[in-house]
Amino acid sequence: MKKTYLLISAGIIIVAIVGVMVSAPTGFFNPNQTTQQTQNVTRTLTIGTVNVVKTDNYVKDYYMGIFSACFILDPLARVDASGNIVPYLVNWTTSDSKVWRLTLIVDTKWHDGQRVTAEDVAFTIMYLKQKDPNYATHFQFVQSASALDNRTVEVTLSKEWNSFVVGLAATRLMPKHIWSSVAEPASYTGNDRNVGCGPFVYGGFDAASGTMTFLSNKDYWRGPPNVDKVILKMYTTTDAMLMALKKGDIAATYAYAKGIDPIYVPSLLEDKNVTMIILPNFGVDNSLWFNCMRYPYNMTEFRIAISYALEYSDYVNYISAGYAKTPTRGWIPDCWDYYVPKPKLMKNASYAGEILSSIGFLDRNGDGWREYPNGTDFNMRILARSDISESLKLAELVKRDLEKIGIRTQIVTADVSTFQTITQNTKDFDSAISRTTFWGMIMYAGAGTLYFDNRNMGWANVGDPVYHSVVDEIIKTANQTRVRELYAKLQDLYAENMYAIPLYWGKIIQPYRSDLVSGLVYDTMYGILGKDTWFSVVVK
Amino acid sequence: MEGLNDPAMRASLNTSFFIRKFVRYFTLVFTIIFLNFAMPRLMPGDPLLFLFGEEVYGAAIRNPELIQSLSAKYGLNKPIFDQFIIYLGNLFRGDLGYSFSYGRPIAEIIAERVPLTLLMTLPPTLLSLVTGAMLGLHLGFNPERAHKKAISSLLMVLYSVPPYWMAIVAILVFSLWFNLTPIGGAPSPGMSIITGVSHMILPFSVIALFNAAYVAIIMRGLTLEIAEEPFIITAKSKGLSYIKFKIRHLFIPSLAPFLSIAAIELGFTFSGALLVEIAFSWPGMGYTMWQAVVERDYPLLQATFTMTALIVVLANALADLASYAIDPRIRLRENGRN
Amino acid sequence: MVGIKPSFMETTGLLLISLVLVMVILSFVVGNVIFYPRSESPYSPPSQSNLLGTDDLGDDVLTLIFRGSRVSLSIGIIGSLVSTLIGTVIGALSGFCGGSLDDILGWLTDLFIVIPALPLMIVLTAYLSPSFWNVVLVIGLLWWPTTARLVRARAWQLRSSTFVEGLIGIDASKIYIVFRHILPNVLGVVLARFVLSISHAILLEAGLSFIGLSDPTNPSWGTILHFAMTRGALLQGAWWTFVPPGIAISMTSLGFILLGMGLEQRYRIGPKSLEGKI
Repeated sequence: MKKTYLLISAGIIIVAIVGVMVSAPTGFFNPNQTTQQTQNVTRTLTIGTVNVVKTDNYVKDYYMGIFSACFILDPLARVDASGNIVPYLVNWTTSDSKVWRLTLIVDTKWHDGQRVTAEDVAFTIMYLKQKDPNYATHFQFVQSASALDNRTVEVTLSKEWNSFVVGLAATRLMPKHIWSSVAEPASYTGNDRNVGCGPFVYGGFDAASGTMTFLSNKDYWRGPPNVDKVILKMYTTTDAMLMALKKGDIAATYAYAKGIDPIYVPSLLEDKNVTMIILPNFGVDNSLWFNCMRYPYNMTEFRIAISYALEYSDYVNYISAGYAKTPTRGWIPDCWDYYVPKPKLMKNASYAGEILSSIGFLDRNGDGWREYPNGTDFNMRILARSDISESLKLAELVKRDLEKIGIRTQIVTADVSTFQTITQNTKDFDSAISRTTFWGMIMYAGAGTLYFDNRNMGWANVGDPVYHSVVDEIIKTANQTRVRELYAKLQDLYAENMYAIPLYWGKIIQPYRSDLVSGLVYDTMYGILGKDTWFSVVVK
Repeated sequence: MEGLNDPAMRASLNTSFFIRKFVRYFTLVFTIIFLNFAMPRLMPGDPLLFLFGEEVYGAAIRNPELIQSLSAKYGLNKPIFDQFIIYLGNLFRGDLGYSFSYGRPIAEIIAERVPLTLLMTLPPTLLSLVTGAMLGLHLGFNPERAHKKAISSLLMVLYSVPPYWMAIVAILVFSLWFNLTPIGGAPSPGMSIITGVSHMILPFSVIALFNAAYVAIIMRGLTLEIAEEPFIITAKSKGLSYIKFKIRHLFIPSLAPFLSIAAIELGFTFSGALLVEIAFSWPGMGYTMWQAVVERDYPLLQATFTMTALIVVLANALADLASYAIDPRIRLRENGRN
Repeated sequence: MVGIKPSFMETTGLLLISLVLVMVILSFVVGNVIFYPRSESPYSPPSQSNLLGTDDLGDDVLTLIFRGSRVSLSIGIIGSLVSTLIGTVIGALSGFCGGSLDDILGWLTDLFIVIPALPLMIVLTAYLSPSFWNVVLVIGLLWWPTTARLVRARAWQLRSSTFVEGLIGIDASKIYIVFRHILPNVLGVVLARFVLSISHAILLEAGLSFIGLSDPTNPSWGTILHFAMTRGALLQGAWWTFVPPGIAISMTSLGFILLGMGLEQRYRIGPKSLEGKI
């Protein structure tokens, strides 16, 4: 008897040893890392992110594009705290919204020592237009871009287009002397692919451990950054990243265009050293989009009735753990400087029921559900993203609210690509739940027009000629006072027509450890990794 | 039966046995490759979306020329048959294609992920094979004893628990409550040995526990079956020592069936590891495959699925050879198709 | 066959299964008053009003578990029914007819037994878009090979028996023999496989749901786990949202495994019948 147990335990030990030998191939654990800790003269900032870079080519990889814009490259223009586009590397003038003159306003060098010139600016615009599908849209009306001298570039558009400056804010200046000979930028693997003129020099990427490093550029035109080295740690789950924050492995977290899900806030508040920057979100966190070309969602009364059926406080309370507010009928969040106050959305179930009854949606057969005016069964479908739990849960709450006023509701789920195909191409949906981003809000004619206008992405599928004419005028108008008036007009249209119901206006929650870092500045586009952070940050 | 003793007969049996096996495995591999080519192309959704990014896709989709050129570049506009020929040719050259979502050659990604999956599955699987087999052998002999019954029941309970859930509970207890282990992630170069081991300890334990329970249950069943056979009764009466008896008369005869079952088990482990990888955010094959499904990354999905299936087929082939070497009775039975 | 008196395994299995059935019945009793009482804030810990606390929407977890039992159990049973049917028909035909049909079906069985099922299911479910019936279909279509192999072995045995040889001798129709004499005699094997497959189907469904490949509007236990994982329950320490569904899954699968294994012993199907692949 004893012998058997002995044999079993001996077996376990042998296999465990073999297992460790198999599992630790040479070089897998590198013991000489410990020596690096001793020379702790560098000011190192470690940031965690769930934006996982898959390959460190910034033309190809979406998140590499974001991080390169934060660290190694400089944008032509930037977005200020109230959402306006302001000069960074270049300033611009135009008299007719067709011919634009860009002037390089700083004198700086690439990381490899070459001087940054207007040639680089002209090259970047034309190169991205040709090579990068993302910029094919931003620069769709660009006919030519050429350097007039060392500092000036003239860009000619094929039509009047004021959103051209949005493209400038999206554009990171690229070195002509490196990329001009690259035909396929997305698969370029040359060692100079991450040479930029930004505040940091690229330090390398280890895909297996998800670690990227950046070293300060002492020659940056705004002076050397306050940190010597930034380490970006990529996590595949928010849970793991926030645990690392609690343990102090990282000083702050980062997620492009959003903070952390508010549902995590209570567990972070348990830690005294974790502080949060809380800011309004320029995107509308989630809206219920109607397909305004499909009956009965093309009826303004119907859409307005729905807007009175929803329990908005539930969305704030359960979906965003209280870190949100109930929107107004104008859809545009109140943090935008062109925001016009409108009445707050609120629930009035009996009023919603009255409107529905008045347009013929009644429960005639007494089964508890309203039917179409012609008596056939009515069923409203809500399209939601199957890969976003928050969106599914929100759809569930909306469904319960609609069912309370007698509308039979069905949630239809779709993964990201199917969702995009349905909402943007086939338009085979009744209503959909989705969020908008800051970028989306400023693209096209701005003020969310990208998401409404059926001539563009148009989730709401708005074909209203009044709406179209306002959008067209914004695109052509250079006069900012007039644009402001038109944005007010858009908000009137949003409120009157309820093409989409904003469900809640969320907040951006940016946690960091106050015992490790201070002086983080929040940038509208890039969050705490905006350029201003590097000149006020203090690493402790 | 007499044929077995005739050398010529045996040789011809052997040859036909191997040819048979070869044909079977070859068609198996080919079918996997074909399935794997055909299936992703039937999936809905537009992979081009992932070249554009969400916001621009809507505008870009209105630009048919751009769509055309990209489709051409990724071979999506060719007839299905041509696509298959291209696919086979590439596969033959070891070119697994280019991942849409990673923007990298797939061979590179796979080369990076396979070792991580092996690191997570192989050591606990080997351990569980040995310990599970020994435990099962022990439990299957005189199974009526109370402590053996208790252990067997415990094994059944372990086997019923989904391993990924075991993983989550382990994270809750050891990472969140006791703060002993990291919440997830794989060991990476540059980590100290202690950190590396701390990353491995939970996945290792979860997979080892689950597999050991499974292996032990199988082995116990085999032992029970063999213990009923007449030669065991004879052997018992011969009065061999306990250990010798177990090894010679219970373990050796059950080894061949055990191996072939163990090979199937490896398939389970690989599949199961997929979910455990997700629970531990361990960037192995399973995790990658899941990502590929979410992002509709055809080539990557194809490659991860083929690799997983081929590894399992390889394991099966090895187990087949091993059982063949161990137990000559298989040769006859195989040829006679039972 | 063996005596009618249920063994210890079978009794325990039946006990666990009846517990699940109680849940299903309770879900119809409390199911209509579901989500009440809802808690004021997300993730309230267990209390008097919510015995197992609430989830991120403030919904009562116990009610969700009861409701989930319906989905998990019905997918398990229907999925297993489909797979057992396919497996039985293929196995019986293969074992009885022999020859090239046996070769082809045997090859098909080998193919599906070797291809790792879960990854294939994930790919297929993603393709078919996850819904109740698609999950059932995927499990049914991919989980039959073991059953087919066992039934084939038993059918082959019967085929060689003098009784069936005699029937063939008097030129009875093959279909007739299969349905009249082979199938009734493999019922024991089929029953045991059916019960075991239920546990596998429940585990597979839970696995698919866990990674988000299920119908979110009709949440099973796996879906509850999925939502807990993706909505921050782990970091909140809200164990009441993900421990109970896991226990429910384990308990149910254990119940069916015990009953199935008990039946296997009753009908003398040892693990050895499984070997001898390709």
